Amino acid sequence: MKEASCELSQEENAFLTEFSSKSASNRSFLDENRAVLGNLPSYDEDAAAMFDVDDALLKVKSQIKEPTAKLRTLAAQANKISFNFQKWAAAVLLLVGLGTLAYTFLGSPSAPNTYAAVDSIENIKLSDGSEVVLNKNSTLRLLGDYGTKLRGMELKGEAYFKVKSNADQPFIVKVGDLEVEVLGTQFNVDGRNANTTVYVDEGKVKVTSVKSRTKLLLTAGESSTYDNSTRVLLKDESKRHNAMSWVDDKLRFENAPLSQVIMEIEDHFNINVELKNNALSGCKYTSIFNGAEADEVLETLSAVFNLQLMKEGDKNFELTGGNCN
Amino acid sequence: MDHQLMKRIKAGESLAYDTLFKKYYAYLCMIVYRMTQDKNRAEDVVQDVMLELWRKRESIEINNAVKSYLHRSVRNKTLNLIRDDKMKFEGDEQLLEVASKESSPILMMQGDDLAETIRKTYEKLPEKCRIVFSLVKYEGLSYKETAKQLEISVKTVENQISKALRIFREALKK
Repeated sequence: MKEASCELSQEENAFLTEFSSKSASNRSFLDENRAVLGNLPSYDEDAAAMFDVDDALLKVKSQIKEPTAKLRTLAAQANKISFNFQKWAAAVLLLVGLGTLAYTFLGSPSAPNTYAAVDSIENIKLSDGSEVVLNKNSTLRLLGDYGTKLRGMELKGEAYFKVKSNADQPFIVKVGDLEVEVLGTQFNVDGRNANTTVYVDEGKVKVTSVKSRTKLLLTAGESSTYDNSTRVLLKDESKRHNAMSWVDDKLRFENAPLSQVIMEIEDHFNINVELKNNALSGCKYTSIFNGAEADEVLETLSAVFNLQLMKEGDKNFELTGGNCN
Repeated sequence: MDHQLMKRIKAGESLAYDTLFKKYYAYLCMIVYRMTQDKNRAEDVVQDVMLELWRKRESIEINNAVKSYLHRSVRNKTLNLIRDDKMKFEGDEQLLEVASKESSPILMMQGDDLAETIRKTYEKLPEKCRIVFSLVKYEGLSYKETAKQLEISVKTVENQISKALRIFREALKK
């Protein structure tokens, strides 16, 4: 029983203490009821099975009204203006001119067209409702005609895109030589290193290398790598579970070799981890960390593989000894 | 990490919101379910609280753990609903006073049978009784705090606790 092994939680203790302090009859009542108090159902394990979180999230999101009310009002104003002009001039040209005017109104008049993230991650909401999460040390420059026939932009660095579906307006991200074309989907583009990586979270994406004229179609869960010097565009067969860990704070490992695990941990937390015993680089590891800190992740890893974990300062770790199990 | 998420949510990032939602949804539903044994009500309460969180995101200030903040919000909302239902807690006292004079036999059951029987009995507790019991036992509120939240007397809380324990004992005798 819980009490016998001194595992009562603070709440249980408080309840028992208060209850037994009331009277002697209470104390004997309590003695007889220990079994009950120690065996109340804990709902923790069942909770996830009982409640469908994905369904619930959709339900809540559908009730969140997007702040497009502002946009709608501006559009109404623009329409009024065009109607007045129609009275005075029937030229098609003028209407086309007004079309542009209307679109300019739809964006906020002072909307920037370059966004930069320096020391922290920046969240950007574009005029069509698409969202971009820009990683540190990255910039995003919208091409002049964003929101007209095309939604184009240029990325330097890394960003995660959540694109509002619009079949009439292709959403295109230029990063180096690559053009990533999208239709209403969620994906990550990493242009920070010698290899540019595109990872698709949801939906479909077309990746084209303008310089070498090669193309790839990626669907959810797939990713591509592009070598900026050799200009080779390839689909990445290894599972890139952690391409998005910087956005949702989740680290996923599925039969991943320890050397890769360590690399992804280093990348995610921006630390240095040295695995002293090279023989272990192929050990396979499976786990998910949800929002955990670096220390916790490394301690868990050490426990699994019998490693000795040493820490020097905030950012440097060393793993010695150990064995695959 | 939760504080980082809150920062991003305040900035309007819907992905951070999704992450927080998925992280705590089942846990929060469980809190309401323990009190009410009503799955639909549990989901409604939690969804309302999460919706409010998004709507008021710019003005919310959370000084301690986000998890505790959400736990308290959900518990308080459930209590509001319970109070609104105008549950009559008074009036059972006479009966309970008389009944508590019996002496109690020693419980003979062991292990899994014991846990299973207790679980079933808990879920079948009369509603008011279960609510009081869950606030004291699961939520860790004192008798005084429980009485205050439900707008009843401390004596009534004591009686409901005794009643619950008695029901458990009866169930375990069989």
